[in-house]
Amino acid sequence: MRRRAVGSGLIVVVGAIFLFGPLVATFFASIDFNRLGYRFTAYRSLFTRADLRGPLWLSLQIALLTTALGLVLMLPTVFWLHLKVPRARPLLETVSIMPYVISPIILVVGIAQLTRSWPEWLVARPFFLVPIYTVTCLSFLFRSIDAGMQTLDPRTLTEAARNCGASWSAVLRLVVLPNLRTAILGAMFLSIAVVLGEFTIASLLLFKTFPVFLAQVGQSEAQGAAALSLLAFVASWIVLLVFNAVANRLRVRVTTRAKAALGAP
Amino acid sequence: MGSAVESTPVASTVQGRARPGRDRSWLGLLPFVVFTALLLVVPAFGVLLRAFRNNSGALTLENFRALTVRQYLVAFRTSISLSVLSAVVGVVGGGLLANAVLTLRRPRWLRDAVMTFSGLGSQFGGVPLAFIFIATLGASGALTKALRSAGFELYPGFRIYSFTGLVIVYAYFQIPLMVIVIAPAIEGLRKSWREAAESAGATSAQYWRFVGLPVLMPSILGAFVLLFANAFSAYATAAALTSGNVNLVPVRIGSFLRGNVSADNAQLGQAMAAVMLVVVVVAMAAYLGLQRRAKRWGR
Repeated sequence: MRRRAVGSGLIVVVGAIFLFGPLVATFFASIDFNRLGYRFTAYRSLFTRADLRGPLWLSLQIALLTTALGLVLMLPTVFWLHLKVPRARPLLETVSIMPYVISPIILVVGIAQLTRSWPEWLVARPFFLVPIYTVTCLSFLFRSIDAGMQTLDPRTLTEAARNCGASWSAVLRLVVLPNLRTAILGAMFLSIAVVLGEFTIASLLLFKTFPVFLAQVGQSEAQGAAALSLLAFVASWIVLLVFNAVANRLRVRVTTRAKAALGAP
Repeated sequence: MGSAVESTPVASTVQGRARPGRDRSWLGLLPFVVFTALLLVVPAFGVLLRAFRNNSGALTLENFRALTVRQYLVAFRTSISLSVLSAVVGVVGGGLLANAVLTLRRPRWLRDAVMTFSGLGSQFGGVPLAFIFIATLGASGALTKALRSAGFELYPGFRIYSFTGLVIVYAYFQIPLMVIVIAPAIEGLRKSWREAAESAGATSAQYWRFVGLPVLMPSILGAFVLLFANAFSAYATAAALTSGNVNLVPVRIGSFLRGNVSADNAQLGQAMAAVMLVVVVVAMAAYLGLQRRAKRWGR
């Protein structure tokens, strides 16, 4: 028993070194200016450099629009699935794993071919990426919202609300959405993270989003690329931790409220 | 491509799904079905169909024959070796790590950190990952320098933008992915099996050889196939890390697409993408099949 624990401890330590070591090394690489010594120039210049703002802003806008489109598409769809057509579950599950099979590199070949004869003013707009990214986020969106719906029992809730004379929009606005907060938050975070990191499609369709910019910076500025990559990693790490914390808190609140709503006569 | 060809899959999907039992409620899924058909199914079928056409649109196998040139065959071989090797590293490393993390009860923070990190690391790839490893093991990376000052010179024997380098970098998302995929299966191993084996005098090795691993085998194989597909279709990291130094299928497809290539080359890219699609479809089908088998042992 003791031997097993020692062996396991050793493996976990080695694993942790492999997973965290490169991050530490990257931090040192980002402040190491060789003969000039250690300095935080790469981080300080993030606030001043003008060429970063455009790509970052573009990526943020696309991320927000993608999230919005994804929610507008998937919330009613999953709601409808639970409420009216549970039989359609295999269809939705199949479709939602398709983005894994049709990976970004294949998708971009197909999209490029499909839109080759489309007018420039439509295809050359960066916002052309929004529907494509929505599709790549599909499985996160579906799984997250579906998991939320499962704990919520929308059928009962909807019937109750309708019996009380609520309109359909009131049902969605006042009953379904508030109870799905955690699921919606999860779906939002995941799709924002995916969009902020997506390189394949943006670079091959020649849009200068944040990852495309990062790839260019990396060709010439070692410290800058290290700093930006580390920040990208740490940012998604923080987002994930915050989400976990919020999700745990909300879960408690939502279940108590759902119990109160359903349990009391 | 002719628009008639493209619109067929959409139309048939929509009508096919909306019809059963003349049930109006299926119409509620119409926006979803149309959207995904347009942006997933149509482009994918476009790739498949286009791979069988020549420049003037006639049916042909010429594109696939053109792929049998040495450099493309090498690309497939390299991609497959990279995917298999990084999947093996991921399955072994991630399997050991997951088991160790689940066995280990004491420093809880370490266990939580590894699990949370795996959730993030499995999704983390792309350009930042490439630069994190360039900063670590590149020619002037921090680890390279540290080793150098310790009298151990990595370069030029090793290069991060090589095949070996890619295996190391891919391990960074393959191992966490394995942890995520296999942890539920390891947790599903019943304690009573282990206790029964131990009370019958089995050593830990014997328990794994005769009980643990056979039960886990479908899950492990499934994870292997998933990791293979994951590495096989990864583009961003390889593109940013090697800038074309390693001859890989996704990188080839990317350069077909980005170069202002002649129409021939465009079709070659389609054919390559079609082969890749088929490989991934087979892998994912195997994964789903194995997962179903693995559930038989489920609680």
